Amino acid sequence: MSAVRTEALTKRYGDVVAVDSLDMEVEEGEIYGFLGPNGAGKTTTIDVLLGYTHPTSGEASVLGEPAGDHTVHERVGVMPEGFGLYPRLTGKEHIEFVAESKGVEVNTDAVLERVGLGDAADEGTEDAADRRAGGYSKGMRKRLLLATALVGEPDLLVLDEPTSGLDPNGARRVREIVREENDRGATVFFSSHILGQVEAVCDRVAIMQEGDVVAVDTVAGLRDGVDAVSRLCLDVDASDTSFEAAVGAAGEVEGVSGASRDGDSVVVSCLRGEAKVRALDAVREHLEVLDLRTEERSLDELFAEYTENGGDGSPDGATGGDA
Amino acid sequence: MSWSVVARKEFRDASRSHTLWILTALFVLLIAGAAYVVGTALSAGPQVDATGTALVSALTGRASFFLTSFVPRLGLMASYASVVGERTSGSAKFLLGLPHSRRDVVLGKFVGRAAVLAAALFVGFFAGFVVMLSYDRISPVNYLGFVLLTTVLGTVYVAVGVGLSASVASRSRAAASSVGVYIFMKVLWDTFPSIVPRGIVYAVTGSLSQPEWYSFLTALGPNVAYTNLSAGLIERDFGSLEALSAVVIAVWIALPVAVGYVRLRRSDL
Repeated sequence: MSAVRTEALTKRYGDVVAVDSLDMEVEEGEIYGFLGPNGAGKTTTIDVLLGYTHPTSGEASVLGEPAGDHTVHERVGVMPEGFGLYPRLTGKEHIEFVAESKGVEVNTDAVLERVGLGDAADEGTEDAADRRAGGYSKGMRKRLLLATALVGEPDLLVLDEPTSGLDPNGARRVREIVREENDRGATVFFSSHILGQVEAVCDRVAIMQEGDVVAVDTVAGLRDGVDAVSRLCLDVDASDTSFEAAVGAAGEVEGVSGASRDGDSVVVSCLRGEAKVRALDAVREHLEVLDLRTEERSLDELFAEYTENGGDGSPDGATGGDA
Repeated sequence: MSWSVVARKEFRDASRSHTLWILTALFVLLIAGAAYVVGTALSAGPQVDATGTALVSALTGRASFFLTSFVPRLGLMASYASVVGERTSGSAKFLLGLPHSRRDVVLGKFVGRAAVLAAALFVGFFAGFVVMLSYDRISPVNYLGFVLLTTVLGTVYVAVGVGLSASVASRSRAAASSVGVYIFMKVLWDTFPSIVPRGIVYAVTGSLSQPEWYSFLTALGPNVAYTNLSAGLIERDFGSLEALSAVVIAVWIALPVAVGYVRLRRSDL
């Protein structure tokens, strides 16, 4: 059974398609990174999975139950987007409320300690756990939200942008906790718009763009892809009128995600090594190439490549893990 | 019971609201003041009813306008933001990420907020009771019955406020519609010249004179229903008008909560 599964899931708000026929599967026991720029549809997807919103069409299930079934939340730890807590309740009261709601026993001090809100909290003299959440900083609210998600050792953790609003130490603590929870046996579904937050910890990463997942692979698989990703810069005779045709031809080559003109150069983004040679050949059919350079790309740039060019420009080459 | 966990959270959360504390303090002052004024007036009267019903009777008669003005306001204030406030602050996602259904949330909100309002009213009425004791003219049974009835009136408006709060997507819309409900119930329905019920009479009969069923028509509003029941309590008279009034009150509690739930169930956070 998969921990999370969607089939042709679509969510429209008026004319805007937030999630566009999304097929996704999170295996039990894995740490699944859900990556994409702001507005890609990550939070909407999570909203549907947790029953906050109703899908327009398609199917979604969580731990084998249809999305929106609140009883399954007894086995799910949720860290929603944003900072929504009860300003008049203390940190401890939040934890106790979650434990009561889930019908579990909890060591309140231990769980707050774990996220850095215990006695050793470095903020102020009063114990953060006994203060009302209304006086918390954004980072402290994020920590408290994470703590609430951990109550009751859930089988699935759904963390929506858990590291946003945290300093680097806090973000590292989140990743440590994610690993610890995964070692315990929990599946972790971890969304972020920053690749660096997920690559260190996730078994697989899905990249979402404009409402659909454009690539799913292991981090290692994405890295293998990166070695082949490069940018080919061809200096050509700029006076030649065939410039546009050359750019168009290069863009058509398989394994090329985009081609453009940059001054006296044709710039071709290639997602596989052999595409470079084919792109070079394609350009030479139209223009005389005077010189050439290649630039290798980082994983960050790969992410940018996927998400800036949109789904159409995405290659087949980096979706190998989608099977 | 999942809703009772939500209700307890609500009680704790809302009872720490400064706005509610200020309103409660104001209510205490008003009730104590009213008790003082009514008590003094009765003491000065030559033929005072020794059974002690006169005081409560006076309070329901003269003070019912004041109570049906203030208690609904308190009930709506305590509830209009209860659900929509969580949607706008984002804590609704925290709440519904827990194993609570939307029904649990609406029901828990209603029960928790109604309990907060009841606590505030009890404090106010206890202050009034203490003041009245000094006049030695109070029937504790009548007074308690009256306090419970007034609490039920407050509960009606908590139900309306929670229902509105669950039905709309913005806090300002919830505030505006609760003001609208208040004005309709108090100013247009309940208060002389009762424009809406009289308008209905005119539309039906073509005349402005009150037909026999006029008191039954006005009893459809919760404020009038409450006043009918208070009068029935004092006079130990429970007829068809009081029966209708009791049903009206029950419907005004159940219906808004149910409608709020249905609206919230369909909506996207």
